[in-house]
Amino acid sequence: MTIRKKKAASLIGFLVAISLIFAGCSNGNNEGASPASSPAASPASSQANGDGGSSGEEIDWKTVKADIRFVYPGTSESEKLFAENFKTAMKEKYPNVNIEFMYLSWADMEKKISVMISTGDVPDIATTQDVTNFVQMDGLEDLTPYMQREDSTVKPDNFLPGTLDYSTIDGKIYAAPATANAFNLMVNEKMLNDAGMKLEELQTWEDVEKAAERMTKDGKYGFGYPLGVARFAFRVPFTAGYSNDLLLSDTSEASKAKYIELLNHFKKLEAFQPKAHLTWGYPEMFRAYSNGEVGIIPAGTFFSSNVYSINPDIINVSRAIPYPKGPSGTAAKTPVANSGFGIYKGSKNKEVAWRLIEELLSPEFNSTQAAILNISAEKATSLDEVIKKAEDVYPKAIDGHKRVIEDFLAMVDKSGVPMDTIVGQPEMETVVQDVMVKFLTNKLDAEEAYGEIKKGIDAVAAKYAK
Amino acid sequence: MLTRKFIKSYGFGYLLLAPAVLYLVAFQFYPLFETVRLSLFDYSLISSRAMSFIGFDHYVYFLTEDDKFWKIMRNSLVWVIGSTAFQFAVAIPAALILNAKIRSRGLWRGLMMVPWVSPVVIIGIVWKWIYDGHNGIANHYLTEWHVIRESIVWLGDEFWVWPALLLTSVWKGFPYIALMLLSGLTGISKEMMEAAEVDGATGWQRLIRIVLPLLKPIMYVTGMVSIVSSWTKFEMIWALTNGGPGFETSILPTYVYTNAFVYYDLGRGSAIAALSMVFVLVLVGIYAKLFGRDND
Repeated sequence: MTIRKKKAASLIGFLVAISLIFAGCSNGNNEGASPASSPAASPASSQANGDGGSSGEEIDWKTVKADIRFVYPGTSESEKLFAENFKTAMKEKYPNVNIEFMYLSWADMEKKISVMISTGDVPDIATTQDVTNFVQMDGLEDLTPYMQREDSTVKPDNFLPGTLDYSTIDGKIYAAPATANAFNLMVNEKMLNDAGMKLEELQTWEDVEKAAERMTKDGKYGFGYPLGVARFAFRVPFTAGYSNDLLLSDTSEASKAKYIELLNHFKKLEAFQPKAHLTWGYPEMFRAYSNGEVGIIPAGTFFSSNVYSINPDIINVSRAIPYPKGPSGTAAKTPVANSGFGIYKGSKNKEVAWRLIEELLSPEFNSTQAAILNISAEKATSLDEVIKKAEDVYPKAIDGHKRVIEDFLAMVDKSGVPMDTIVGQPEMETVVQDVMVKFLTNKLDAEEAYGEIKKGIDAVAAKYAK
Repeated sequence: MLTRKFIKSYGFGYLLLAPAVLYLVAFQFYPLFETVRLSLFDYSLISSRAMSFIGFDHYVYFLTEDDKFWKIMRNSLVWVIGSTAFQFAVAIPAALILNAKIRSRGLWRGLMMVPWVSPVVIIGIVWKWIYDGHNGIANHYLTEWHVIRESIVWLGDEFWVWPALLLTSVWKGFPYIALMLLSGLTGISKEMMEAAEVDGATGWQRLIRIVLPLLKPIMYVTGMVSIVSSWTKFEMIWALTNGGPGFETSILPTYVYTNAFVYYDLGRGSAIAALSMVFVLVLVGIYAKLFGRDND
């Protein structure tokens, strides 16, 4: 019996030892990611990696074979339709290229991809907004050499001023912008007029507070700040901060007065918001706005695609304005980011991926994306074409949608500034959300709230500065 | 050395055991070991710093410096103890009713299981709509019935958020406990109950003196399962509140997720996971000490 026990113990011990050896061998580091294929500095015709053909051979695009995994966070119906149409068109043009779209929300995408990068199971094409985290993970390919090729159809000069800056870190371009994303205020003009004010009167934060106050009556509210999700809880004061010449991550003494002004502005708006805004994300905010329950919301160029399915008529009474000027601001400013496409560093099909990105950014497909998301990041994409295609996407609200597009174009032109990228922003977002909730529910005064935000943001900044 | 005789006698047995053992090694022991190992490293996916060994620094940080950790710990205890206690409070009468001779008993028993077999995330979304502070049906009916004067932001109000979360947790979890108790109740001999009745014991006395003592072993095991499952019930809180507003409703598993997959700080995320494991072991130990004496 004792011998049997000993043998059983040896067997179990052996298995545990094996597991420990596995554990010891794993590095848990980014080293596990697949090595990137060779950089693509030379023209596509003379270099193909992965399944695209052997190095030094010309790629025959009719016969090139590749399975492309395309991470696509376009989850609205119109965006999915665009993806499927693109897939069909590419299948006709490149019969042996199979595109698999991975539909994920923006929030889920970042988490999933971070895990995929660290395990080396990397897709090929990325849809990007803020590239900072992926670059920090060493997950994205530098696209500069691709754009510098003579035969490339995607050149840095193709893009509207400012849009490319958002995807550029240390002089390297990590994504080719498809659409420009501007962050601003959306105003229900009818509600505003009914409250006795005109759109042109919204020039300062005080005007916004006044409009919100006047619109708040009969169970309707003037303003809706989605505070229930950290990303949006941060984004709204972040957007407003630009118009007060304040970057939300700047907690220096020099910025303290501007910070306090910002906090007080949201405190003044609090009385004119539904109490439920404490738990809102974008879906709840857009629903309340679409149903005419809230008159002003902080949104962006993605506005139409988010409200159309709830109530298309709301687009016809909506106007886009930059967040008006704050007390210490020099002018109203609109932070402009982009949504674009990149290539994952570990992709084995970089040449094919780049070719597909060129296709995506061709006027044909880019104008469709812009029709869905409002503003193209490319100079060559015709506005008429965008509006024409938008008639198919937003048939019930096309007049309002055209006017919203015009508002956005004017806004980006007059008040657009490149949006800053912040290392460690996700951590800062939870700091700001936590403090804003306490501040707006009267658990902290403005000075204390500023102190708490400063403490939290400085700690995050210090962590990444090490 | 494994002798031929040993292999002949026990080889097949060990072969049958092997899949389970390999599964445990690959999916339980290895992740556990890896979690503890990572917790000793400074390892962030979005930091330019190389992964470096820092010993117990993360543990020291959370236990002594992080101003959120102990509040989140308290939330976890409220969540686990509250969920378990209230689930029992609802499950015991439910089991007794469903054990009685009532019409369509099978149907009621089946209906009771609906919350338990429904996916947690779906339940979370549905209850989020119910609790919506602006257009939710809870506010609609409570206002219409004059129970409340104005809408309550159930998931954003410091006072109401925990009762709201616990109500959802109880609704989701009590059928399992009721089912376990029901199986125990069916095992109690009718003769014993009839003898007690003949001896003049009232219904209440039979419940207190006979039924509950006989259910104790099942209650003990079910309680332990409920504690452990509530401790790790991440999805419901995440679907309902994201752990917010701020960190108001964060529990340790949501804090693990926030650190590991929102901040991409796998070192700190692993440290909280390891601490969480220790705390749940302590909690289960205390539970076993308090209630396990009679159930050896």
